[in-house]
Amino acid sequence: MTAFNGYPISVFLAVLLHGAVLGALLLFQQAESEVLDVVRPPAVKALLVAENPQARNERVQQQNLQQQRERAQQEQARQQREQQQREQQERDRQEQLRQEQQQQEQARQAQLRQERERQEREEQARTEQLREEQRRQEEARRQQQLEQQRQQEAERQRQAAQAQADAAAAELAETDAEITMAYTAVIHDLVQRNWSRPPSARNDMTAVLRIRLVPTGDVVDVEIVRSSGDAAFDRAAENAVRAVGRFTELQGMPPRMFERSFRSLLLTFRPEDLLN
Amino acid sequence: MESSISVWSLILEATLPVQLVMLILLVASVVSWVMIIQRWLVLSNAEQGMWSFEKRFWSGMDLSQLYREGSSQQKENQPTGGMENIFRAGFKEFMRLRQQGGVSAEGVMAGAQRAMRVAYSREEEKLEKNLPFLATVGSVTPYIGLFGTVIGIMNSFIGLAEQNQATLQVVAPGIAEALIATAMGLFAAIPAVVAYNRYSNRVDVIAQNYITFTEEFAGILHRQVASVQK
Repeated sequence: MTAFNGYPISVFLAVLLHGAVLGALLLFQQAESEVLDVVRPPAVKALLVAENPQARNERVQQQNLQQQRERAQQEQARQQREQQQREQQERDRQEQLRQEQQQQEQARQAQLRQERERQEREEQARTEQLREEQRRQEEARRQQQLEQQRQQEAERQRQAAQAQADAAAAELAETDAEITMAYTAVIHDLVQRNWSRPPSARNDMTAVLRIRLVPTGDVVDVEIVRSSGDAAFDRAAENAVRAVGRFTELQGMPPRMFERSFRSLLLTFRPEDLLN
Repeated sequence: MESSISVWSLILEATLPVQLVMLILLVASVVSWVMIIQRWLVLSNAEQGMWSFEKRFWSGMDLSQLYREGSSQQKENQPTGGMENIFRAGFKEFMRLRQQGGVSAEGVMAGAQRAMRVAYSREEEKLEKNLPFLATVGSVTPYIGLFGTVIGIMNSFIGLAEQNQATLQVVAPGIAEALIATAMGLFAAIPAVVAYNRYSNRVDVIAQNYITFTEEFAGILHRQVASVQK
């Protein structure tokens, strides 16, 4: 007479469902983190390719092969040239023999001709010299223009490089200035918290204090540079700095920046929020 | 840690009260799902039993034979359906009163109807069992989740007060962790509410069918009494 109950199977199914939901969450998270891992490698890969010794060796081998080929070609060319020279020498000798015979016959006629030709040649030479001089002058002018252009370009490049360097320096200075400002803000905050204004404080009072710090953040000296005219106010300001005693936030600062901005620091005390 | 804040790490790194709330919500969700599945099985079973019994009842079979079949089924340790239980209770009372003799027709009918009413209320109770739990889960878990969220946000703001420089990074994880509690509350509540509405509707339909059957069966019994007395 027991009524139907499906408890075991429903417990099983419910637990299975929740397990599936949690498992899906876990998988989803893992997939996300895997994606994050995958994003990084390309930069590393590029570095590896640049410094890959195998690739470098292959390149060197290829270069060697090319050089060998070039050398072989040069040698072939030299041999060909030598052969040609030898042949030419033989030809020259034969021609000389012929020419000597001809020359003897022609010498007489030639002497007459030569006289005429000499006169002509002299005239031609004169005109050619004039032309060459003109050419030389033109070339000189062209070279001067080219040099001027080159100088201008060089100057331009130099200026661009300087501009880039200036921009980089400015950026560095900016970030430095930002960090300095952040630290200064921390110092102001700490001092302000420890500063209890005397009842005699008035709105127009200004006290300037010089504090000297060491890299651990300890205050080693406090000195009133400009008094506000009210002794109680000055004392309260001095006490505020002494109450802080040590700016632990400065400990992690780069030493260069500390030396530049925080070795000695001017603090201005001004009760701006007072009504009277 | 800065790169990815996942739901999982937020749950694991939550503060103790929030984790406790999350645990309660998880348990509530699991239990409510157990109820949802179990009720679904029970109601489907009841509907099926109802249709098959109605078919057998109206097939023109002799009522006493139907009763005997049910008895033999129970002897084999197989439970009978809800509608059959009502029929058996009414028929048993009817036979017993008739055999006793000396009871008027009105008396016999009244006895049989009373027995069927009792059986009906027992069956309805069986069907509606655990449904209030689903209603409770559906209405309460959002509040529990909200409670966890409030505590988590409170913690993150207390942490914010201790910080010198307040940034979004200080508050954000605490609030995200707190909001997970609300999400879990809703995760538990939504199925519970849906299932409660659906199941109470199904229970109503089944109960209505039972009542209709009771009336019809009473009519048949009344006819029998009347014919015997003539």
